Amino acid sequence: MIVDILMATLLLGGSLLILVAAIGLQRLPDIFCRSHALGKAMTLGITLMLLALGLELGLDTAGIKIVLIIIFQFVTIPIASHLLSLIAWEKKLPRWKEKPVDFSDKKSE
Amino acid sequence: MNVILHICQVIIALSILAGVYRLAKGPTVLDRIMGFDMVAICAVAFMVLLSIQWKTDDYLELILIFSLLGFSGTVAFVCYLGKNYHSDYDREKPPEGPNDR
Repeated sequence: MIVDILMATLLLGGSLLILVAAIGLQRLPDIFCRSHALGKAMTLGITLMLLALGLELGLDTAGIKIVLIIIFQFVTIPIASHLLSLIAWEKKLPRWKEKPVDFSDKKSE
Repeated sequence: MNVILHICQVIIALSILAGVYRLAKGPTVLDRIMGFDMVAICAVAFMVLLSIQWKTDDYLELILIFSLLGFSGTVAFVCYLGKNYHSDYDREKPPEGPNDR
């Protein structure tokens, strides 16, 4: 019962984080911002879902494989995102120049 | 539990649609690579959901190999583009030759 509730929480949290990463990939204006969205939210989301799978399958050989997959995802997804933004910086791709929100009026009041 | 699995599958399918949209639309090549990465990780997440639904551990090697393939695909694209990728690609120039991307 408790394991079911924990698994449901982990699954919902992980898939909602992946949805946040997808929305960020759609809505953010720049390749650096997009790699920011992909690199962090995606890693945590897939890790939570793999933890739910580990709760389902138990802690024998399947658990060891799941720990291996989690370590692998933790290493590789930020490396891929970092490589993408590194090559975008190196090739001088166009960056987003506007200010997001101007708070200066609010501060002066 | 079943309801939550279906909700998660719908959410992951929406994320795959978003990744495919960025893969098709993306203004530069790097955006397309990012969309490809997104689709690969979402496929891994869908395999996790199906493994939970079917209560089996037969697909763990498949998950490991798929994430490895997605990562190595991204790294191969980046290493290829690091040598020959022209920065004014995003100005939508007409293709110049048979080697143009």
